[in-house]
Amino acid sequence: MNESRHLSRYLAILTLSAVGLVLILPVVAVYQRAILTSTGADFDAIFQFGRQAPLLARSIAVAGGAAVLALILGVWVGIAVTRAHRIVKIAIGFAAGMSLLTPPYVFAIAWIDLWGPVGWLYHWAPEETALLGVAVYSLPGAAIALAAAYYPIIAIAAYIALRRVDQRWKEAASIAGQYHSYVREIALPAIISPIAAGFIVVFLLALYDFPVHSLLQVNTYLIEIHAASEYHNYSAAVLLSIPLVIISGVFLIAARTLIRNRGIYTDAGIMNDEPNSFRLGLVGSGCLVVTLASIFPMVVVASRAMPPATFLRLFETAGQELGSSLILAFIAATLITGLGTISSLAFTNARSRAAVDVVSAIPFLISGPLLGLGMIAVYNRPGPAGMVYDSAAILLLAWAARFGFVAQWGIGAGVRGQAPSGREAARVAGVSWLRMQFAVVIAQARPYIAMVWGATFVLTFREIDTAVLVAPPGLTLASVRLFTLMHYGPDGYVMAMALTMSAVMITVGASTYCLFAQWKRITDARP
Amino acid sequence: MHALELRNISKKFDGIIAVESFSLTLSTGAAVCLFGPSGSGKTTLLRLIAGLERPDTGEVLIAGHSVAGNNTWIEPGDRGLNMVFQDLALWPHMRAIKHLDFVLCGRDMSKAERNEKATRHLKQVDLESNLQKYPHEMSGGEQQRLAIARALATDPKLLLLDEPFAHLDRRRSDHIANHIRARMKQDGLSVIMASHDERDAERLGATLIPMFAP
Repeated sequence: MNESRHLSRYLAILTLSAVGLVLILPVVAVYQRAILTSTGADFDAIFQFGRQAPLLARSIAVAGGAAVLALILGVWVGIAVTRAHRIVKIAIGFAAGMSLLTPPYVFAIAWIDLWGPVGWLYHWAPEETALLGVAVYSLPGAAIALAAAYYPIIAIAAYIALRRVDQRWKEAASIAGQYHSYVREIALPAIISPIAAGFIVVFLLALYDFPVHSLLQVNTYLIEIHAASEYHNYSAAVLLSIPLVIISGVFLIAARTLIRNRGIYTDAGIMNDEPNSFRLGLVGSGCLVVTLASIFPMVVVASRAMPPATFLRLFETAGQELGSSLILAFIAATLITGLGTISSLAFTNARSRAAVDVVSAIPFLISGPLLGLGMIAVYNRPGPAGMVYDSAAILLLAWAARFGFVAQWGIGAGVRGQAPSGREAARVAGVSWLRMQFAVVIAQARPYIAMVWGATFVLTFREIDTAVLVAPPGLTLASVRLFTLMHYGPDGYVMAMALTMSAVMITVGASTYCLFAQWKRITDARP
Repeated sequence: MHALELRNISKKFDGIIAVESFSLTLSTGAAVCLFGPSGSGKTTLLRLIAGLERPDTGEVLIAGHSVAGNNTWIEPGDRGLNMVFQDLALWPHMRAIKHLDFVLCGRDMSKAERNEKATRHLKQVDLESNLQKYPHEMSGGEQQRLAIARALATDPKLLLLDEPFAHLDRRRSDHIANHIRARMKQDGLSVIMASHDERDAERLGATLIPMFAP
């Protein structure tokens, strides 16, 4: 039965090779090319405080502003959901989920449409308020658009956090005469870590959202890196990315530590001993937040997309782009999920898994444009690499590198969460290693695999940053086309395209969530 | 020939002694009960016999063949034994009958034969009305009986039981114990059990082996 150890080793070698080829090579290539082509002036630039400080300040202000706003909205909605009736809970969950699945640049275009010179609010609001429209392309505007897209992450974290707080803990503390230290010593530690992790995730996503920064004309690190990328200026792009990578690396490690400290989930707990009127007010205000942050922007987009003839024109003129994006996102999601599954099976040792987890996040952390440059450096050459570069395969590889960590972390969590005795029972019964992996490990990780597939489909379907650099000639993706058109303003055609793309992502996201919930009910069920 | 022989087995975890120089001989068709408080190394010893842990020193012999120690290592699935885990280790995504079908698959049996055998074993532990149920749809006692049926379905020569009657009432415990005793008599099944309840040993007619925290 040494077969099992051999298979496990082969799988690890295969995964390491894939990780090396797909994830590491472009990163190494872009840094190597940058070092070789750097001049003294390039290095001087990185130490120019006058240039770096405003970029850093603006990047942190957009991401921090979005994260703080999302924190306020998310915690509010999270608390409201714990108190809501089941039907209201589902409605809030659907609306917030819709927000999460809709690309942030759609919220940005809705924001422009509301406050821009031709926007609803600009026209209908009193003259003094209409002045706000002047500031539509602004840092606060970007923060608001990003917060509207990402607040559901914190709402989910807050909901999970509140489920942790078991009513019996309070009772036990009260009996022991420790009621006053209960909040400080018991409730707060249970609540804070998931919410803090959610905050950090939103901060990072907002920090790296190139399309929103670009549409709302906020000059952040990403915009500068992208500008350098367009001129294939490797050294400038790499040097500019260093502060960004350091900040995000620290935050990502912090988030991972907080997420790992998961504790116990319970339904027994949610503290709901407040008066009914208070609860109604809380749920009502939560619904209002969701309506304003999630539903209202979509209504703006939908109303501008009308009449239905716009959609007919859209399918006639952009049907091919939509089709290509759908097919490529489907293949990419399947590829990324497959690699993530194999990697989760191959690295069962905690230390090697942690190393692969960190390495898999690097291509995301160096930013989309820089990864695009790395892909160009590796594949834009004669021979087989060139054939990859000239085909849609380059997009699949770029997306696998960029979003591989989603699968690595997501499916890894599903595998780690399984009781080891389940595998041991199969081993003792003489079940072969391969069968055990399929029938016990993968089968139990199905909810996470489905969720990762859905998440990577959505991420790749809406991806712009890398695709805009590496898409082969003749292949236009829907996201890239939409992004280009958005710069000309929020007309009906753009809104129809944004709405259609959002509808695709919401459908895929909702379907995979249903699968996740159905399978999770079985794998997590207790007698 | 002895069903099981342990020669001076020792095991440490991070420098902490779990089992120290433990020796034991178990005859074919006999049963022993490792009896002792938590932390006395009962479960570790069962895991060493099963092949889920490697001994630091000493040797494990099953049916006269060395399976661990002296530069020998036989994988758990090739030792001709099976185990009922303390947490039962049921697979939450599999129905009761699938649990047995899964461990029988790959044993040179047709699908119909596997199905017949799985049904028979589940009937023997009074689970005939639960064939299509998931573990979470069963009570604690039913889950325990499913774990025992799964362990017996592979026709092991040596059965390792970790707190096997913990979730069962007295009547059910006696019923399952009688079933295991019948297998001991008919098939020469040998049993090694870990428990902190002396009555469990009585039920199986097992010899008590007291264990103390090292």
